[in-house]
Amino acid sequence: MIVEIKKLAQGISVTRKSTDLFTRYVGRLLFQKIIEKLQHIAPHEVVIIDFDGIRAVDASFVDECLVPLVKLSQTNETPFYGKLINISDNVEYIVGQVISMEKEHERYIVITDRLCKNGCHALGRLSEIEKDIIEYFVINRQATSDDIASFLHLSGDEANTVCSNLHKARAIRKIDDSYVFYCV
Amino acid sequence: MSTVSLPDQCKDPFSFETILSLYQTILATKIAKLDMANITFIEPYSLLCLLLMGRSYLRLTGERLMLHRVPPHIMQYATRMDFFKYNIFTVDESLHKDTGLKRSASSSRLLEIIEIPGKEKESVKVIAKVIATFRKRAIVILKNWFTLTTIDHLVTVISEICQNIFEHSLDSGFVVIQSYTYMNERIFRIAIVDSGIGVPGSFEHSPMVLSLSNAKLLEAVLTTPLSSKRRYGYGLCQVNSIMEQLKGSIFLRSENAYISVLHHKRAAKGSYIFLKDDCPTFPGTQFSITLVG
Repeated sequence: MIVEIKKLAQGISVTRKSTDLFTRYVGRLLFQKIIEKLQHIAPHEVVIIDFDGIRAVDASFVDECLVPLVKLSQTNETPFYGKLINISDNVEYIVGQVISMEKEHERYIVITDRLCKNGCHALGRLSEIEKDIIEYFVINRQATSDDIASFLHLSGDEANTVCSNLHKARAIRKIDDSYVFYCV
Repeated sequence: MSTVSLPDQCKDPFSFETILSLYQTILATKIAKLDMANITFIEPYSLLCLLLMGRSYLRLTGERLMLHRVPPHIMQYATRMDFFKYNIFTVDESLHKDTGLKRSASSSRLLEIIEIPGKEKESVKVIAKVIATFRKRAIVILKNWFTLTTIDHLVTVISEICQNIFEHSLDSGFVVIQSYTYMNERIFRIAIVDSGIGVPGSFEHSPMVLSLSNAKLLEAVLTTPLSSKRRYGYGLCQVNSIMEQLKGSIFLRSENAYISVLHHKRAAKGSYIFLKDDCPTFPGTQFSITLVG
């Protein structure tokens, strides 16, 4: 499913003609609109959030719209995978900052279609190994934890744990109980 | 009618502290006239704080302060910035026709004073208007700093600070944006001010910050994800990290303290943070965001 943020924002009076998404108020309204669209997704579907036409966001908007969306994707009811595309430098920066901030036991990762300034196609609190794994998936599209173990010289258990954690954060896909992980 | 003569201290946020120190005297002795004859230059932050002084005086006494002997060029500038639109001051000499504005009243090098309401819905509409106008005029206002990413980042800064007015101050506020040249230095300044409960007032019920001095609290809100309402507050942290990227500076004042953060253009020189407590007490929160170059 593709969610065109600009189109949804045109349905909100204050952002109808705007290239910017700001305030908690707008974040809440847009989140509701996205939720309405998500009613029709299949389990494990990739939801592409298209930021084409959006230049800037603020932290309040991200906190009210994208953070709850990522939280929702991590639930087990209808798991899905979010991917941001066509993001500006500003969107990358603000989203990266907000979702990287310490949140005790919660951890959020967002996959993007571009190589971000952290050297990875993902934003969030990521270790160097996790970044390497995500980049491996970007290139190879799919892999087992054994592939990752041999690529990064890790033990099978270590590789499986890291991949499972990345899957839990919805940074890589896994369908049913298969041993294969897929790129988002 | 008693008069106080304002010193020529409207050139930057630091010097304006001298004028703020007169505020309590003006209130206590019900001075109704401000003699502006000494003012040679007034920058946007000082102009907004003067407006706040007038508004607080009006709210507390029911009287409007009178501006006396305003030099023509200051009068021209204040008029052009919509300073008198809010009917807060009276002036004993109005702008003479011959000394009126020669420049277009809709100059693109600034964004005139706009009031940010204290209620969420109305405020969001006004912030949208501020951002739309800033984007339209950015090519002129930010002539010396122009990149699309700089404009995007400044849009985020404006939105974050303006939101704090209705979220935390329990009051309305004002915003103004301008680029100008002073002493051969090109300056871009965003001033956003309110006269609400201030940062210390907003954190009144947070036990974790009670032990901090007001200046330390201002430092904490700029450098850590601290919020008086939620588990985390990102806004001012973002403002600080954006200004670090843009190598600009932040002046944040609240109640009787201020913090000044200067991000040096050369990465090796890092950032300077200057804190000051025991400043003259003035209600609310006042921001000045500056790029120099």
